[in-house]
Amino acid sequence: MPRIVLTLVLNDPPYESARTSTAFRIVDAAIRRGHDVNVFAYEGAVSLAFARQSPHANAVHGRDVDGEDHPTTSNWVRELFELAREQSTKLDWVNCGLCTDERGTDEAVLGVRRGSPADLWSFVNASTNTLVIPTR
Amino acid sequence: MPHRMLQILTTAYRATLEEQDDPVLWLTHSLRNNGADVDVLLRSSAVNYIVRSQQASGLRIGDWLQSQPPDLAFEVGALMSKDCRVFALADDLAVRGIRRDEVLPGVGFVAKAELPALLRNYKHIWQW
Repeated sequence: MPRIVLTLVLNDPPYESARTSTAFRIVDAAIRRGHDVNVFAYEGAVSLAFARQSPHANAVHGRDVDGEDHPTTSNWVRELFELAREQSTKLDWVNCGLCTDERGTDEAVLGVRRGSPADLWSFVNASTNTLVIPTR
Repeated sequence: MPHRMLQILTTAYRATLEEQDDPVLWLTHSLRNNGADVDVLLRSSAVNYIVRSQQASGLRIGDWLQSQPPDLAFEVGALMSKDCRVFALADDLAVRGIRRDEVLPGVGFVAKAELPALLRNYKHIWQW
């Protein structure tokens, strides 16, 4: 049986939409099932992997940094790369280079690479299917 | 009229797993903690925030497990404990099949036809 390769196109920036956590869950589930996954992060989604994100305390919740245990999407990206390594699958995450330049978010976590729509087209041609998760 | 404020929250579950809270409820808490006289009107999908049985734990990405999942009903209840009044649009509860015995006690129910009278009580009305 040929290997299943899925491509996801993400658009939403971090901390704005439930679509983001849903996208991460889809990638997580695909990797756990042994599928290879490509992610093309476009526009605001390039900030998902921005390495300088940091968790914070939350005065409203009355919790310090450790107690709040606030998630960062960049850490989720790291987790997905580690999961792919554990599952012996391939995760290829490309950030749209022009989009990172516009936002000054070119410091991505390890494993994320800079690319262009040409990479997206390569992903599509090599994939079993492609899912676009648009912003609104 | 004092600077009474009404936060109208229309979009539910916006990044709540990432933020471990709702951004507007969080801001309302923070404004209240800083002395604002602020109330909340939940409408559209946000009426679901007062359903007691909601539960959002279990998010897992790789080996990361969420230890502090959002608890929106708790946050709404905590606002009421700070003397914020919380209203829900009765029409939006009804169309979603949410019964009143399923929701937090203390929430005020308003019909669409009653909104003009409610809104007249506020100097600031922010719709999110």
